[in-house]
Amino acid sequence: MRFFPRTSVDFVGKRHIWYTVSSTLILIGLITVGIRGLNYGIGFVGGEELTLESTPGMQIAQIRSALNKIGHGDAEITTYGVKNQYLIRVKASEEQSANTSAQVMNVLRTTYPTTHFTLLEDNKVGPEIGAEMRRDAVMAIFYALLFILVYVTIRFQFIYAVGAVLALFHDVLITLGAVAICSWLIPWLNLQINQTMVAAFLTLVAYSMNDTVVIFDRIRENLKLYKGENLIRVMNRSINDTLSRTIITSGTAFAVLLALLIFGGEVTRGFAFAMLVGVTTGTYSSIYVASAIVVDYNVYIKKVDLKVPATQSPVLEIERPYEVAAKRA
Amino acid sequence: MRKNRFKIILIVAAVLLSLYYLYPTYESANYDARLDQLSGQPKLVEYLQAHPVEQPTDSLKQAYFDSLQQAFSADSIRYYDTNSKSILDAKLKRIKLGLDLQGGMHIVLQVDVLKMIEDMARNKDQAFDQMMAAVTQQVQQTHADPITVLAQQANQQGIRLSRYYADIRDDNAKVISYLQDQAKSAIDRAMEIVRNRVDQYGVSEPTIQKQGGSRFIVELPGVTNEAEVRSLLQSTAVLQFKLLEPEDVVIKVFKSIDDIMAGKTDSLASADTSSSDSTMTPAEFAKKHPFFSIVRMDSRSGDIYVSENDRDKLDRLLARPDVKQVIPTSFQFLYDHKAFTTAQGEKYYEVYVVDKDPLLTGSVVTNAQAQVDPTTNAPVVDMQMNSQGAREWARITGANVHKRIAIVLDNAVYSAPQVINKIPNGSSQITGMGNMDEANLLAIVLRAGALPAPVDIVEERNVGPSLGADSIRDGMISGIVGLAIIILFMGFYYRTGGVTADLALLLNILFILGVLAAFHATLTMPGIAGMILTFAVAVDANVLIYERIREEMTTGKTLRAAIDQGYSKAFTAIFDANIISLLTGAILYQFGTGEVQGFALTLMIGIVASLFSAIIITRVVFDIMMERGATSINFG
Repeated sequence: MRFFPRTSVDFVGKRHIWYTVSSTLILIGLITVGIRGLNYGIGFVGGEELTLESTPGMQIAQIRSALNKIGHGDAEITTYGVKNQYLIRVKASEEQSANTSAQVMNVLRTTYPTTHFTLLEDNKVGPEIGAEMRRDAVMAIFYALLFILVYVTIRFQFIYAVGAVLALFHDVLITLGAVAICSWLIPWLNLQINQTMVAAFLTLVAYSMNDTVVIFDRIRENLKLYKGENLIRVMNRSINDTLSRTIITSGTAFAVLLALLIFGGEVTRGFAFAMLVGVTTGTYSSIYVASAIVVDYNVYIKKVDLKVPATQSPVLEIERPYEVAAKRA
Repeated sequence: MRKNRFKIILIVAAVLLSLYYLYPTYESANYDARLDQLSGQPKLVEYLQAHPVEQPTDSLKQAYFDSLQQAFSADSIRYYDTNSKSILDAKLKRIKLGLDLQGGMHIVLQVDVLKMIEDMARNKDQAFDQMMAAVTQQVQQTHADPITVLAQQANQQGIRLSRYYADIRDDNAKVISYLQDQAKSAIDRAMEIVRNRVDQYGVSEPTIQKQGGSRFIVELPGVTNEAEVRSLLQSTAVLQFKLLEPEDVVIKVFKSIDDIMAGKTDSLASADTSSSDSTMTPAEFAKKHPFFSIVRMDSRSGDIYVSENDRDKLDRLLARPDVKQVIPTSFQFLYDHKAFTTAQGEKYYEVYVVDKDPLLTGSVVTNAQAQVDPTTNAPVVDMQMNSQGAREWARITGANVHKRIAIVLDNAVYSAPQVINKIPNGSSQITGMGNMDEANLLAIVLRAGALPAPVDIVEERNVGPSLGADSIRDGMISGIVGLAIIILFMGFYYRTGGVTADLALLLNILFILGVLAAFHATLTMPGIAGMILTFAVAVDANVLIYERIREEMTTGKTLRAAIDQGYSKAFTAIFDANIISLLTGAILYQFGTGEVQGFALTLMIGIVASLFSAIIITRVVFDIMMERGATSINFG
C-alpha cells in the first residue's frame, strides 16, 4: 500500500507565500505574548502551588472566598484534571510563611466542614531558584542551537546550517505563540512554561532537525546524482522523494503525542501540546524555511539565476568543508 | 547465517542482559504485592465493617485501631523478617520510581550564610546588630554574597570584626577569609547532619545530593508529613559525648534477654548448655539463643554487631515489655552511623550500649581538624574545647581512663575512642580512623556541635501517593494507546517489513527498561513521556529504510540489492539526525533538574537502543529470511 505515489509538487516555487504565512503566525504569537505575557510555572517564578481534591466538587469562587480569610484571595485558582481537582497558586512573597499549605487546608476544612479535602501535591519554590531556572532554560536552548549550527556546518555547509537554525527559531517562536494563545483562550489546558515545557521545546528542536537533516541528506545525494541540474529542481525532487517518509513519520509522532495529550494526564499535557505544535511546524519548516532559505541565499546573495534550466552551477554543489579542503590540498 | 553470527550473539546477549537487569524489578513488585496482601489492610477493613465501632472517644478509637492494625500486620512482619535480605536486595536493584510517581518529598536546602555569620559571632553589641541589619538588607536587595557585603560594611563603618569572632586577633581580611572557609565547609556539615538524621528516620532509598556550591537536594520517597520533615531537616544538631557501659554488665544483661526469649527462667539451665554451644548447628543455636543469633559479640574486643537485615528486629525486641524489664534504665542502645561490609559481603552495624546521660555536650568544642600524625603517618583528629569545656573534660577523662567515650551526633555514633589518660587542657587527639576520609568526617561531625550550619528550605515539593498512582496509570494508558497505533500502522502499511519493525520496537522497549535498571535510573512521568516519544522516533529509522527499499525495488533491483541499497543509503540521514537528537538530550540533561533529567536520560537511552534495534535487528531478520530462500519480502 502506498499513501503517496511519486509526487512532483513545486514546493520551493511557492516559498514566498509561505514566508508571509509564517511571519504572520509568528507576529500574532509574539503580540499575544507581548500583551498577555507568558504563563510561567512555579519553578520559574517562585511561589507556592497546591493541588487538592474535594468531594463533592466546589465552585472556584467558594474556594476563593475561603482563601480570602487568610489573605490569599488574590491566589490563582483553576480546575485541574477531571475529578474535582483544583490548582491554587500563591505568589512568592517577601515573608513566605512556612506552612501556607496547612493554613489553606485548615481554612477550607473549617469553612466547608461537610466537604472532604485532600492535598494531592504541594510545590514551593523560592524566587532565587526561579531566576536561575529561567537562565538555565535559555542557556540550554542557546547551546542546542549553537551545537546544531556547528554540526550542520561540518556535515553540510554553513548556509544549510543557517537555514536549519532559522527553521528551528521559526518552530520555537510559533510554538511559543501557540502556547501563549491557547493558555489564554483555553485556560483549562493549564499550559504553563515550566521545566517540562522547556524539555518539550528542546525535544521539538531535535525533532524538527531530524526532518531537516533527512531532506538535506537527500539534497546532498541528488546534487551529486543530477550534476548540473537547477538547484530548485533538485530541491523539489529531494523534498518529493522524501515526502512519503516525512508524512508517515510526522503522522506516527502526531498520533502518539495525541494519545499522550488525551490520556497522559496533567503532568505531560503541556509537553504533549507543545510537541504536537512543534511536530507540525517542524515538518513544514524543514521544507519552507530551511530549504527555502538555502535557495534564496543563492538567488539574492550569490545572484545565481535559477530561472534558467539546467545551467551549470558548480557553486551549488554541496560539498562538506573538509572535502573542499582535501580537494584543494 | 555465518556472517550474521556476531550480530545474532549481540542481540541475544542484549536481550538476556536486559532480562537479567529487569528481574529484580519484577521480583520486588512481587514482594510488594505479597507484603500488601499479608499486611492485613484489606482484612482490617473487612473486620471493621463486620464489627462497627459505636461512637468511641477519639483517643480510645485510635488505640483500638492501633491494636487491630498490629494484630493484622503480624503476618507481614514475619514474612518480611524471613525474607528481608532478598527483599532489600531486589529493592536496591529495581528501577526506581521518581517522587512524582510514588509520592514523597523533594526538598532543596541552602546554607543560610547570613544566619551562620550571626550565630558564630560572640560578644554581640549594638554596633554589630546595626551592621548586620544593613548587611541583611543589602543581601536581600542585591542577592550578593553575604560575606563580601559584610566585609564592605565592616570596612565602611570602621568595625573590627575580630571583636566578634573570638580567638582571632587578626585584621578584617583574615576574619573574612576565615568566615569564607566556614561557609564553604558549612554545606558539608549540613549535609552530614541531614544524612545522619534521614538515615535514622527510616526512609527507604533517600537521596541526598549536592547541587552547586551552597545547595543540596534531599529526596524522601513515600514521606508526606511535611511538618515532621521540616523539623527533621532544620532543627539544631545535637553532639554529645556518652560513656560506654562496662562490658561485663552488658554481657549479663544480654544473657538475661537471651534467656527470656528462649523461654528459660532460671539461669542454671543456660549455664548447662553453654558448654555445648560450639557443637550446635546454626539452627539449633538460634533456637537456644535467639538473642545471640541476632546480636553478635566479638569475645576479644567486646564489640557488638547486628546485621543490617536484623536491625529492625532488634529494635522491636528491645521494645518488648518483658525484655525491657531486665534492661537497666540507664542503658541506651545506639548504632554506628553507617554499616560496614564483611569479607563475605554482608553488612553489619556496630551497636553501642551507652549511658543515657551525656557526659558533655558538643557546644564546648571550638574546633576540630583532621590531620596526619607525622610520626605514625596515621590519620588523626585534633579537637579543641573552650575553657569551661576543658575543665569538665579534664575531670571526665581523669575519672574514666581506659574506658570508652562515644561521640554521638543526633543519636548516631561516629567514633568511640578509648581514654588513654587525663586530658588537662581540652586539646584531645583521636586516633584509630581507617583513612583520611573517616578522619575528615569525624572532624565535620565534631565541628557540627560547635559551629552552626543553619539551612533554609528554598524549594519544596510534596507529592501525595494518589497523584503518583494516577500518573502511572495515565502514562501506561497513553503508552499502550500510542504503541498500539504505531504497531498496527506499521504492520498494515509495510506488511512483513512492518511486523519486523514492530518486533524491533518491542525489543527496544525491553532494552530501554533494561538499561534504566542497570543504571539504577529513576523513572519519572516526563521520563515515561520520553519513552512514548521514543516509540515514534524509533520507527522513523525503519520508515526511512523501507521507503528507500521501495524506491530501489521500483527501479527493478533484486531483493538483496534493494535491501542492501536501502540500508546503506538511508544510513547517513539516520546517523546525522540521531547524533543531533542525542546531543540535544545531553544538553537537556546538563541544564535540567530532577524530572527533566529523567526525561533526557530515557530519551538518550531510547535513541541508542532504537538505532540498534531498528538497524541491526531488522537487518538480521531479513538476512535470515533471504538465506532461508525467500525471494520476495513484502514491504507493502
